[in-house]
Amino acid sequence: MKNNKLSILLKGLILENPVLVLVLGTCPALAQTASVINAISMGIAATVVLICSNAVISALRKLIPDTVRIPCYIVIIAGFVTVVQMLLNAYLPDLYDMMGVYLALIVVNCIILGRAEMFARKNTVVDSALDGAGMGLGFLLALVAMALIREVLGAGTITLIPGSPFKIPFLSDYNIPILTQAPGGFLVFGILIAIVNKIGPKKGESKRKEFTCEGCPSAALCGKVACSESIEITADTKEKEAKSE
Amino acid sequence: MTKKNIMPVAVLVIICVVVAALLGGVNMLTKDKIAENALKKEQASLIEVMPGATLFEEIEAPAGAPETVKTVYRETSGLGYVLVMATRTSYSNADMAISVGISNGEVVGAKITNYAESKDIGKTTYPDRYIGTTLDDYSEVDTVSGATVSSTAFRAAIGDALETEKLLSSTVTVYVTMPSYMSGGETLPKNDTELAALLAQLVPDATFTETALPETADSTLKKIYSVSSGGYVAYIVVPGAYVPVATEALVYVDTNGDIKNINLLQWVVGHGVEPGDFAEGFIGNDIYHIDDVELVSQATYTALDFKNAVTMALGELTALMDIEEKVWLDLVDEKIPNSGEIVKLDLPSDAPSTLKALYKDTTGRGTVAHIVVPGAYVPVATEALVYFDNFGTIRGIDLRKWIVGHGVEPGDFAQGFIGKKAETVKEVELVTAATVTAEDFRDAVENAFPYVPVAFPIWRVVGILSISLAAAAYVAYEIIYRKRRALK
Repeated sequence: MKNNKLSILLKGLILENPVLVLVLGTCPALAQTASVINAISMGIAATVVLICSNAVISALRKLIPDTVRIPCYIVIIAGFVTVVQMLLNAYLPDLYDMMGVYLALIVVNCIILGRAEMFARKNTVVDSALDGAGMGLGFLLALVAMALIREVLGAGTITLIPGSPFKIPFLSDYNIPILTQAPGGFLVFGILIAIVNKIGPKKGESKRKEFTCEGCPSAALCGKVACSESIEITADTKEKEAKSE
Repeated sequence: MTKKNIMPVAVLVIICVVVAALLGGVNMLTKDKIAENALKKEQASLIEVMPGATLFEEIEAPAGAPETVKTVYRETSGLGYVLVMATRTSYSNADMAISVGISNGEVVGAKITNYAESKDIGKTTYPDRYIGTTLDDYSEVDTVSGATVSSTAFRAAIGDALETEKLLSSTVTVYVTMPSYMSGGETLPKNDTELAALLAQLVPDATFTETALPETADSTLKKIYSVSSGGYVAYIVVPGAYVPVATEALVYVDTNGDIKNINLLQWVVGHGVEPGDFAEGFIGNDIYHIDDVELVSQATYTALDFKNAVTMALGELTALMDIEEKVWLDLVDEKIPNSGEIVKLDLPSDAPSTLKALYKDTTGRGTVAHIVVPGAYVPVATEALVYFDNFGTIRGIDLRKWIVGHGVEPGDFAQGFIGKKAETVKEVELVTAATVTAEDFRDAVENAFPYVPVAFPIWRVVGILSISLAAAAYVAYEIIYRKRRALK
């Protein structure tokens, strides 16, 4: 049991990292990684919302009818995001100004709604909270990793206090500005996804993921064959399919 | 509407309500802090040019300030002023916005806040060179090359700012010790010789005789002079509400009871009292129009106190000249459009004391009652003119004096009297926090009705009779006509 709980927490970090493996929440991942403090605040805000919304949605999972499932989830998530917004505006106004509109955009961040649909709906409160924590930490990790690369190499500084970047001696003179801009962002993002893919499950093995095809964002594209546990991609399967058409 | 259909909607609604309540709670906890942060942010740019400042308030630019001055902020703890200037350079149509912080005639901070042309150039260098300069030595600061128009424009703006600050500080005489007249002593800020000179300025070609102050005079009314050409001049000194500086004025009231001229001798800049529009707004008003004098939107106690002092002085002078009734007649004449001569009616001896006078419009349009109700809680009376038509219905009401917050006010309450007759006036709504004042007023109006002459509604009777006769004739005609037709 304990192992199970720990595995729920840990899988969000690398194995099912929401940004780099599930490819969810890319908008803040690209927009808020130009500086380290941005990434940290974004990650923490999203984690808080994730844990709270997962827990609440899991607690209410038997009470919310299927037909109004999505509106209810959105209302709950939006409520938590607004609370976080107000608290930041009051007590950490610098961070609030820095995050700007992306704080409000957490509401429509796919990670949160996705985890609510895929996990919180079907599991207990404690498990859902752990899953939220794990996913949030994975999000934070991915963002910080991207921000470190983009800011250190792109601007030659590290910003840990909003408004006061710390200049790194050699790198700040020989920085690569494109990394802090949009094209560089995508570049870093792509490279990180590739790295995580490499250290993840080996090539050729069917990727066993916990969610079924119905929760997968790429289900429409792959034709529901790639991830199912019972079907393995082999040449035979493909032939059979071609013949049956 | 099966259970299947209601359940989802109900659940969604409940969730929305709970979330909304949660948000409302958090909002209540944080909104003050958020407002505070917003104000700090707004003022952050001002604090940048005045180190050590906490809070600023916007004040009016003083009269005579150069055109480049856009906004003036006063630091609330008295550190100084921040002036936001806008200046044009000859090669750009965009304004260069500059914030200058000045404390005691010395520049403590300067910043270019908006300049499109040479961006980043001189953003930190040449503004800082002006720190520590005063009106005398600012022009000696080395401009970057002397040839750039922007740095020259900047220097001109600094000069303008320093001049404006001088204007702001010089009109305030700050007393180190509290002057004795503030604490009820006899010494006045201006002595007799000074006053004589100022009086001559106010009313040319006249001599002035000091008159004894009436017993009812307010403490702000210091001296009264009777003018040889008619009228009186009052010397008013109002102690400052926020700073130990008094507002002083000479007010000249003519024989019609109107303020003919006013001379502000001393005022505190930025507290709503100033010699321009504000002071001139008093001219032409008599005791029954003085309430119309407008205070600026951010009226301060200083301005209110001053207006009250002038009002009380005007009242004393009007009483002294014994022209109160004349002034009332003028008011009645003004309020009833196209009226003929206004004639005062004699009141029988049993008329109530609240009915001060009745005036009749000789063109026969109606009667005006002057109602005065003594205050129930404070020694201030409520006064109104009530217009009755010839059939005993109230057609209009003019509240001339009322106490704010005691239930009598010119809006809904007063308008509620219109259209009422003797029987229905008791139905006028008193507001929920109705006071004795409001009830007394309503009773006073009710008690006035029996004394208002009512004409016999002859034309009304004739009208009703003729219509009914016409209707009866028509009905009769129909009946006869039908009978005739039926017979055929």
